[in-house]
Amino acid sequence: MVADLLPRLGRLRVHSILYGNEPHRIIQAVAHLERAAHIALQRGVFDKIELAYGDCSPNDDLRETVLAQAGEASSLAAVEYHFFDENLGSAHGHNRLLDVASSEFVIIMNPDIMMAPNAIVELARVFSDQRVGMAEAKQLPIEHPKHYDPATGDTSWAATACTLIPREVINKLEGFDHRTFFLYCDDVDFSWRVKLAGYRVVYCPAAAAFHDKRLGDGGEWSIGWAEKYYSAEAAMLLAYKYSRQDLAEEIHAYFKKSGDEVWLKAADEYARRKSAGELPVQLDAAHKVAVFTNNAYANHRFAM
Amino acid sequence: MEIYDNSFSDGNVYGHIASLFARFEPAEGSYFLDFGCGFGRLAEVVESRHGVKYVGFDINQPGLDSLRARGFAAYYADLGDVDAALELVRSVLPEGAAIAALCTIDTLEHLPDPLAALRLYARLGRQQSVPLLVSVPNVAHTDIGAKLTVGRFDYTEAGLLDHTHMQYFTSDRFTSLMKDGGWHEVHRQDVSLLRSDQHFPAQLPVLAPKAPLAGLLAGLRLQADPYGYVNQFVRAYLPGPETSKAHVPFVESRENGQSRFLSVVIRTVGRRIETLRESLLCLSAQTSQDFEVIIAGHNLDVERQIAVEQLIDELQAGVRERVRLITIDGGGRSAPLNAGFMAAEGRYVVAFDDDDLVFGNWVETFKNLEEGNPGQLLRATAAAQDWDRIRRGGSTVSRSISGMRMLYPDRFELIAHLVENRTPLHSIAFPRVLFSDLGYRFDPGLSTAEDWDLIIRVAPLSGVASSTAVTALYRLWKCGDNSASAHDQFEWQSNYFKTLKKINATPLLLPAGAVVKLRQMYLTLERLQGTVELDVDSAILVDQQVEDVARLEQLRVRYHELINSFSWQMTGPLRQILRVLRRQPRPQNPKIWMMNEQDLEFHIRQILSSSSWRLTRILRSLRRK
Repeated sequence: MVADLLPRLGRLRVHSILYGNEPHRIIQAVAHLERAAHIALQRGVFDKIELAYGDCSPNDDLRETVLAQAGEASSLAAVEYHFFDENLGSAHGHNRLLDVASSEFVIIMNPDIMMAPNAIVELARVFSDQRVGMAEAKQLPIEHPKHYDPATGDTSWAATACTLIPREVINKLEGFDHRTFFLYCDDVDFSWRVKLAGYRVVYCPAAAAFHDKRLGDGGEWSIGWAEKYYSAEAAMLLAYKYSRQDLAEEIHAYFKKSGDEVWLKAADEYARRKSAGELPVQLDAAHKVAVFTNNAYANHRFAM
Repeated sequence: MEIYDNSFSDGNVYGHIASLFARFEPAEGSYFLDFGCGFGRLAEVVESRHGVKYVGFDINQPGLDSLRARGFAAYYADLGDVDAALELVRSVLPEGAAIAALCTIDTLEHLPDPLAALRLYARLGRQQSVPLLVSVPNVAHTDIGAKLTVGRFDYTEAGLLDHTHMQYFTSDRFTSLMKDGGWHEVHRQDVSLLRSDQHFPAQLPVLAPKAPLAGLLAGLRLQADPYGYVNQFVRAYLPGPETSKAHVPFVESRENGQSRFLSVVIRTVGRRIETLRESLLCLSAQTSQDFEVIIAGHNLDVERQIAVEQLIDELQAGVRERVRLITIDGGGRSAPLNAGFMAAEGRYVVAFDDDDLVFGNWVETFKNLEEGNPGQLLRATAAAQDWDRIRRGGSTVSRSISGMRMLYPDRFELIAHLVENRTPLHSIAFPRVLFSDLGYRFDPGLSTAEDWDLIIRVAPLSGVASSTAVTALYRLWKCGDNSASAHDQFEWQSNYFKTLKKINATPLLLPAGAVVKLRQMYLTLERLQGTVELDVDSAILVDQQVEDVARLEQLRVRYHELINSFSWQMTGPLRQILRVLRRQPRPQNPKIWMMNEQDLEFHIRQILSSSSWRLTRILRSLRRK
């Protein structure tokens, strides 16, 4: 039998941002994580795993739920709750959690992610190669359609719905760009900066993570206001940041003509930032890492 | 002729008892004790065939007199007084006498406490391991059940519903009673009658042999257990352990309120561990955890069984304790499903393949459907997606390669399902009683389409409650690893044909609403074929909407069309002249929105039968041309 060679990666912290989540789903998510942590510790991939929640909710009602998940018998060495008392958004929330404590690795995870028992081990596996800067889990039941190299897993960007990142990389990049991105595309931006820094972004299809996304009646995608607004705003900002001002302007013009209230609001915000000089510093002038194609940030295997 | 004086025949209860008795190879000179002997028509047979000594016991004096007159020992014994009866038996048997068998034919059902009689027999028989031969009538004969559906329960002087019966037995209750009485069954030779003495009046549609209703009920009865045509249970026992049961069997708990909602049966051959892990993840992530999981491992070798067991061991404790692995060797695709469904304990059972994916509300949607539709099949909507498998390092991983495709309708339509299956198996949950109580199974004779076969057999009975919520994802493997590619087209067709033949041979229950659909389909077909030509006015009568709201709307639209039609408008002056001549007041146009169905029908008919409408018929026909 061939020995399963796994890297030994030290300490791991799992970070997740709450906003009015259902307590029973948090409990369920922690139970999944705890099992994945147990197996990762057993396999020696990590030697200590902690969980930290940052809460952007209007009140700290979830404190008790979160803290009740800690226990002596748990494989999670600590379960922390940090109440931010303001809605910071995901990028800023994660940056605040990153400031709290250190560990060699961090998993950035959505609070509604349920990890498969082997997920942490499979995410860690790719860090045998020290050039890997992000390892992303496969989301189920709706798998993301972005292309990845079947042999190596290399891909355009990694979603922070469930992604393992070395602390060293995070420090080098000074975390997420929360001044530009509130809720969406902070992960696309981070991924591309990881690549610009010379690291690989790898998709791990053997590491499954259930993400509670649903289809509407008739199989339609239904998105809420926040997703529509912040992804629209981020689309322009991301294009601008990655030296595609032409594309940013094109999207802006499209939104302005759309008559759609949400898109108009996003377009106005972009215009405001532009006139106030609040747009981000531009990167990737040679267009080495950024991909803008068919309204997506990677080539897709298919259209959803 | 006495009503209980039945003659011996090899085909009746006496003959079956004699046949069972012979299996024990009775010793010559031993005693055959017949409790509730009646006229003891077995006496001559057992004595002449085996050389045993017959002794009858009963309270029926004419029977005892008959036996004595024929030269047999016969005693008055009341089985209601167990101690006295025991004393009597001991007193009539010589010291050390061997007993060949105890027998009690059509007697237990006449006793208020048959348990006491069985314990008396056990006290007599336990020491020598004496067999007990028993017969009781079957209250669950097809005839009795069918007549109960139309409110008849006909006591008769004797027979299945003898007016003196104090106990009624189904096979299950009889089995429980004998066990509680301390007897262990060793042989059975029941007597069957296609038409029992309860088959009257024979013209009832629940009984008439060629009536669809009778056929449907009989089919259902025969599906439930093998005793639908059993007239009398005739069985042989040996003494078993003593029991302390204090009363005759009855159902102690009507419903198991504690049972789980759902049993998820996952069929696996252990070759797709990576997708099985994904399937289990989808289950552990469900918003409702009110389910158990039965992994039905089919033809697993040791290595694959260990792989599946390791997967179960990986699960968090709260989920793992609800997961069981059962192993099944042999049989086709149906074998693991049937074994899993029979092992299930939930109120509902759903099948799941080891590569299926579901959304977080899969169980919750089924459960919500059950609340308003208890006992129905529960169906949610499935989306389809193409997937393939790629090699990555040393392992295989799955990958989606297409968008979601809504290949399956979001409502269950029985008539459409008669054409082909439109419901992936993991998107429909079955009430467990269909399997545990009614004997339904996935047809082991089918190598494909076993899911369709079951769905269309049980859906007409239970009905199907549908949800438009998309809760299941059917993975269409484009790498050759699926049942479609594993079986050729001929095999699929052959299996479809087998199922069609099966359902075509029996009456079919259609759900409410089916008449209108069938009628519309038939009319549409005829129109397409050009065999009928209907104008709008006959269509409103032919294509009637049965639903109140739709019917009202249809009538409103038609009335509006009529009063605004060219024909009606053009003949307005004519009607006005006629009114003036007849000195009738000018009518007010009715308020369409306030009219009910009867009003609208009245006004439409008034227009259609009016002379001005008739006058303009030619115009309308010209316009159509």
